[in-house]
Amino acid sequence: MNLLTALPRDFLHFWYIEAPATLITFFVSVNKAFFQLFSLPLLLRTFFQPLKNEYRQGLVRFSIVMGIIVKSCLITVNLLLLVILISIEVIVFAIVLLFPLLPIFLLFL
Amino acid sequence: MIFNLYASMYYLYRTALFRAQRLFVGFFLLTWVFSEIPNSETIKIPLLLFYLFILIEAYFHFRIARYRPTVTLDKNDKTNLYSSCTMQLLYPLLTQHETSEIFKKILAQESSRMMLQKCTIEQHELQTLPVPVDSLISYASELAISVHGNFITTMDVLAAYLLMTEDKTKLLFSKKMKPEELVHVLQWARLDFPYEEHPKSPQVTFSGGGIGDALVTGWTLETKKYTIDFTYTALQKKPLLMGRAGEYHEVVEGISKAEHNNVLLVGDVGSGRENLVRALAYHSFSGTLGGSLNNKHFFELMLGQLIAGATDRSNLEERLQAIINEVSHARNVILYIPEFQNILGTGSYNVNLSGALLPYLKNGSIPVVATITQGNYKSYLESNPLRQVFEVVILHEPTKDIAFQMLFDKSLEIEKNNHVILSYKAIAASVVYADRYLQDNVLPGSAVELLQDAAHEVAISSRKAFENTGKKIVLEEDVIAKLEEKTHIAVSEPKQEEKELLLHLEDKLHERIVDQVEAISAISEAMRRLRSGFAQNNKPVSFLFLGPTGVGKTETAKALAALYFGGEKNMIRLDMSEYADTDGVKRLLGASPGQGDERGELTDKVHDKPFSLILLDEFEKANPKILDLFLQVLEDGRLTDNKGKTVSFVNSIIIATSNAASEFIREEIGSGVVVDKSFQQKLLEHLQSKGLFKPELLNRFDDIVTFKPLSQQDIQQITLMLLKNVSEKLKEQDIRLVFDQAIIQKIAKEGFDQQFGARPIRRYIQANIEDLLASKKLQNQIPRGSVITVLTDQDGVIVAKTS
Repeated sequence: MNLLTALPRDFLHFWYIEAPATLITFFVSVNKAFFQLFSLPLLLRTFFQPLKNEYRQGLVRFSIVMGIIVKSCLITVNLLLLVILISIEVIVFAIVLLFPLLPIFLLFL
Repeated sequence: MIFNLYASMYYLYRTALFRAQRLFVGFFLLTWVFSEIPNSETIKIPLLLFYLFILIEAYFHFRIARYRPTVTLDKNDKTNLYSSCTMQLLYPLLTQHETSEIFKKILAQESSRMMLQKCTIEQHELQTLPVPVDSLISYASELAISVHGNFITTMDVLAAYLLMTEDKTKLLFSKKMKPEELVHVLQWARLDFPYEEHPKSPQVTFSGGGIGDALVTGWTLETKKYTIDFTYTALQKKPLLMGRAGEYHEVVEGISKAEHNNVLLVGDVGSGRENLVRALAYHSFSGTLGGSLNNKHFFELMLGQLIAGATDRSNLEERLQAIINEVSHARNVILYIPEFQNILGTGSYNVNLSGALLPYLKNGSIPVVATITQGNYKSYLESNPLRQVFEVVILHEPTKDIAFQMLFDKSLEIEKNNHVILSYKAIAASVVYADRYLQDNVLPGSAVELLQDAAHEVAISSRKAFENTGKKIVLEEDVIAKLEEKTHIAVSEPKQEEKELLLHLEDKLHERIVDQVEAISAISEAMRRLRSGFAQNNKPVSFLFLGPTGVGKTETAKALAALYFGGEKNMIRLDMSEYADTDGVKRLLGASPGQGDERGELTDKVHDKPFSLILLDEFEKANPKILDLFLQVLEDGRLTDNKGKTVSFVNSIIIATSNAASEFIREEIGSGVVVDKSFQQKLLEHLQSKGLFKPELLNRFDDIVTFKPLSQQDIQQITLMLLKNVSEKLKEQDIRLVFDQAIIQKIAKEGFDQQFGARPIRRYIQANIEDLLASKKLQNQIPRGSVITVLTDQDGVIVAKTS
């Protein structure tokens, strides 16, 4: 009897507490890797700095302008990809949470 | 209990039959779902079943297969130890009842097989005796706690079983493994297989710089001409930090400072200086260092390339300036300079770049990690202004225990490279023997080198693979054999031939030495102690031979060298009368740095051949400063030469001979005194009262052996021995030499000199017999096959008759 109640309880504990926590940790690691790969924080931090950290006189101003243009393009693409990534994560998270409720939809709706 | 159910499910799910069934059911349901897609009413049932199938699979994979015990060992009150067992252990324990069946399941784990391999135990040697499961778990929990484990694993149970059944099986004893060594193996296995205790959680990591890094960091075109990408080298294999975590932390702290952000790693060859730089480069690339240290590129300065083609000093400085400019603006470069003394104007490069670098090293614009040996650091940098800009991290030689742990880590790499299995005893032997016998490098490098060489030798040998692993196993004997090959030191158990020699050493020595029973016995006993492992590990075996000249002191040393050290040429012989002045110290220890290239006559020879017989003839005539040096040699077994290299004497046998107190010995023994303890005491008092040797020097010898003056009988025996030598020489030319007792007595009487002992007898035989025979031979009076009789004529003159 104990076993019969323990298993569903354990299943629910796993599905609604452990699994979401693991999933969030996983998404956090995916997002960190994304930021690292696409260098979003670095591009924002160095937005007004010259391209290739140019230090030779006469080239600095030009490099700053070029840097702003190139980085703006990259940041735009980055943000777009980030929105897509986060959307996917939210959808996956929602599917996982709603998954045990699927039979209700299947059988009664 | 829920974990009971988990264990049953875990076992069931992993069986081949059930796997096949799951695959079939999954495929069937999927096909059913697809076939019902056009019909929206009937699809619900297959979809529901497929959904349930997915749910159960997910629950198994993400919950049951990654099950972690509920109670850690430190919180377990021992009423239910099963709650602290890992899933891999629970399922054989809860589903099997026979010990043999439990171990069948446990040995299916790679970690358990690895433990047996390290102990050189083959699976068929493992007897499965019935052991109560509760006692087994209880003992395993104690083992797990002793190695700081959180839960009980299959490895702990295997170790517990081996220890609990040892009294009956004697399995560990037969493999020369001690219980504490098995616990070490357990620790090692737990390090290699951490996921049984801590299942890996899913995670995504990204190493290296992102796409934006190249845009914001500066050019390094000139720098790349004179450097190589050390980060690339570092990424080839995961660096190991075992035992160097403290030093690594110091390096990270030093390099992350705003100014003076330079680190100098000071350590001898083998201390792991480069490994630490590799670790820094590796973790910087992986992005685990945090802050500004992540994603740095380590460029190793190639001094040869920097100098090559530089027309003059200004050209060289231009190149250096270009590197400095680039590195200081690149933001992501750390310069690695190995053997830092090379840019301080030392060595063959003869280039001093320290002045040009100093300002940039001070203001932190070019972070540098450099390495240098202890000796070079003391010689060139300790009092140099450049020292102030560095965070100096000294890599001391680790203790044997730490070196052992380091080698555990490194063994995986050695095994992979050589496709072998390293046994526990092989690793232990490499640490112990490298520490004791390999003097050029320090631990752990020396042990790693020894182990690598032994592994390579085994890999190319024709030895059979261990069990069905397809890999050969490296044993303790392999490491010892490699060590003996490298150092020429006899370390292994003596073989039968050597044992015979050791047991009959007195007889063999007496074939050359007449009488002097005490001396021969003392030397033979010392040799037997040395080869049976009873010698002291921290000092050499040493003797002081005292006695009149020509009584066999030097001859005894020569005889031992001939018998045991492969000939007299292998004996290191120093005539100490040549070291009577203070220059002798320089000759013995070599020239100091900057005062020439002379190598130490003693230190170099012992360094090259540590297992040697060192004969110090006429010891009392050495300069007192030299005698003081030997105080250290005899006590600590080591001597540091003038270049800072320490040489170990612990594997040597030192024999010092001296004529000091020979008159005293002659008089005492002449008056009928027996050589016993009271005589030795009087002799020591005499030596000290006359100021011949310092008492502390005399105390440091293992034994002071008195050589007695020769009796008439001894002299006749020596004469016979020398005549036999002449006879042996002639026998090689098919000529027989005959002599009688009268000629022996004549030579003994006329050849012997009270003052010079037996030495003049040899000269007498040369002058009166060898010269005579030589001239006859040149006159063709002694043909091959003839018999020569040596006798005296009526006038008492020695003549030789040929027949």
